[in-house]
Amino acid sequence: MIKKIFKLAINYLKYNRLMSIILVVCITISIFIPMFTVRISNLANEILSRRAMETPLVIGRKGGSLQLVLNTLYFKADTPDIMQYSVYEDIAGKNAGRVIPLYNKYTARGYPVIGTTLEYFGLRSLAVRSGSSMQVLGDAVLGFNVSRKLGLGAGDSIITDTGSLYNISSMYPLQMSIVGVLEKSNSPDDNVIFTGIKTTWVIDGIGHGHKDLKKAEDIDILSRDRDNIVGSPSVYEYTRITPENIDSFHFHGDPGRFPLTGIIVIPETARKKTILQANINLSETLQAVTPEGIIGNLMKLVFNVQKILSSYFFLVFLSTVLFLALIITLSLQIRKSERHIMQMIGSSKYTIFFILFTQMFTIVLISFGMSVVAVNVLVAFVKYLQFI
Amino acid sequence: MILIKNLLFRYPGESDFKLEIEELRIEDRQKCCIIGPSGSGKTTLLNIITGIYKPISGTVRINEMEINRKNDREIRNFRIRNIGYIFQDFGLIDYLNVEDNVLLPFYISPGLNVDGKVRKKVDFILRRLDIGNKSRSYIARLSQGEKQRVAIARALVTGPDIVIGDEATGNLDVKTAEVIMNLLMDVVEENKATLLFVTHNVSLMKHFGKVIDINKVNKDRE
Repeated sequence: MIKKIFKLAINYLKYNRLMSIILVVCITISIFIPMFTVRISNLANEILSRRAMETPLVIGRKGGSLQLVLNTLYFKADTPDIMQYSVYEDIAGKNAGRVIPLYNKYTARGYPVIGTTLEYFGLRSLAVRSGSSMQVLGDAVLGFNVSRKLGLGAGDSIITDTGSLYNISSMYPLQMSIVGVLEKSNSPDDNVIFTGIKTTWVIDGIGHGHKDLKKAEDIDILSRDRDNIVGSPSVYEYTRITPENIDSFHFHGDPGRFPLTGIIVIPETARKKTILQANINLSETLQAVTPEGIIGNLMKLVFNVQKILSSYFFLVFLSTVLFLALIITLSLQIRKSERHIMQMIGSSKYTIFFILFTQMFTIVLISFGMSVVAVNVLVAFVKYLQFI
Repeated sequence: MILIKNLLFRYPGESDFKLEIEELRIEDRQKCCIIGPSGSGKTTLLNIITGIYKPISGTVRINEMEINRKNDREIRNFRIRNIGYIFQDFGLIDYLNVEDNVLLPFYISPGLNVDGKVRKKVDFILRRLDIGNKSRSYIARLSQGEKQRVAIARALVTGPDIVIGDEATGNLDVKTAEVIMNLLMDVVEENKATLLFVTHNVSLMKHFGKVIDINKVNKDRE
């Protein structure tokens, strides 16, 4: 009987194609929007939380803790206040656990250049897909998406972005050698370029390489005495680090004062974490934050917004239900003679109700199916494009 | 045989109209025409015979079954298998094609299943009614005469004992009405069914073996 009723329902929907399509579109939209919002906020929560949980402690300059976490973990948000490399050395010296420095200030072709150590790859379980990880100054390893989108791989090179074409005080761009590409990790690591921390200092202008002034011609020398040689601005600074010129690269100043934007610490024990966090937070200039807590608070805010949206979605859903009720009422009016005929022939009221119900149910079922497919496709698309 | 005895029917809350029949007998395979002015109770009588309306008193017997003593379910089952209905406005479903319209009694009844035999029968009836080539057409594409043929086919598909036509040619022009009437008579005869036909058209009365003037059988109007 169900098969026969379903046939009648399908025939009705096919015959009244335009009405069916309009109904399906209306219901699909009213199901799709809340479903997609919930899925996408859950996905964001899952992705953000997973990474936050993998990162027990982040240390940076006192200031916006959310900015520090977003910049250090997700490579988003503005560069936080700069901290000194000596902080890293101090913490590393305390044997509190694994300590990873990060310097995230510059970009190359729009993608963040993250200066760090190879220990970062171990923390995030990043594997090299092709080539090798960075070994010497000037080496860069591309995240999977960067490689795919720029069409670059091991053996190519990439030039860092200058601040502004007309800013003569900005640093020279550095041409980095791409030595490897990472496996896809479905994380923010896919969308960045990794290099050694020292290489980012070279980009910063703290370190540089140029021709040996001891061997330089007089035209390149402003003054020369027993202890000092002052070169003229015409001395050529290398913009690419090569095996031939790598030895000429050097850093000026106290390494302890070199910049970092954040430090990730993976303490050996919870006790060590607590002690380190407390000590750091006693400092006037530093903060130690637990990303899980920061992201948790952020997600609470998101879910609060979602709650407000839920009441809005409920109203949309209610209006759709009322709209459907109107359609059904009108349909019953229009199809009064059809019901009468069926009853005269010998159909029960329940069968007629079941036929009409099946028609609406089919519409709702198709709409629900389309919503589920659309949500899944869009969520997959969001994951693919890594919007989150 | 249809036998009505001591029937009294009145619409609930309506005192102007009353249908009171002492005895009315319609033999098997008889072709019977019911005439009378509008509002005289012709359709009411058909609805009582088919069990749609229940009389206040009296008996309505079809063959051996006293229909007004049965419950709704039994009456529906009886109606769908034993009575074929032809409506004045054809009563066809616009979203079904001709074949599915004819099969409608099978679609709306749990007890009737569509199988190859039934489909063959539908095909035979449609060809018999000269609309065999229209089985896949939708109702909107048919002429008035073709629509009425589809309605006749649907009335015959379950092999009913009784075929009821309520002003069944009322929407047709005179010529088409005559053609349809001849066809109806033939197929009813071939199906060995009893025909009860309500009409205002006096020219059609020649087709019937028995004419019932509702005003004469209704004691209230005598």
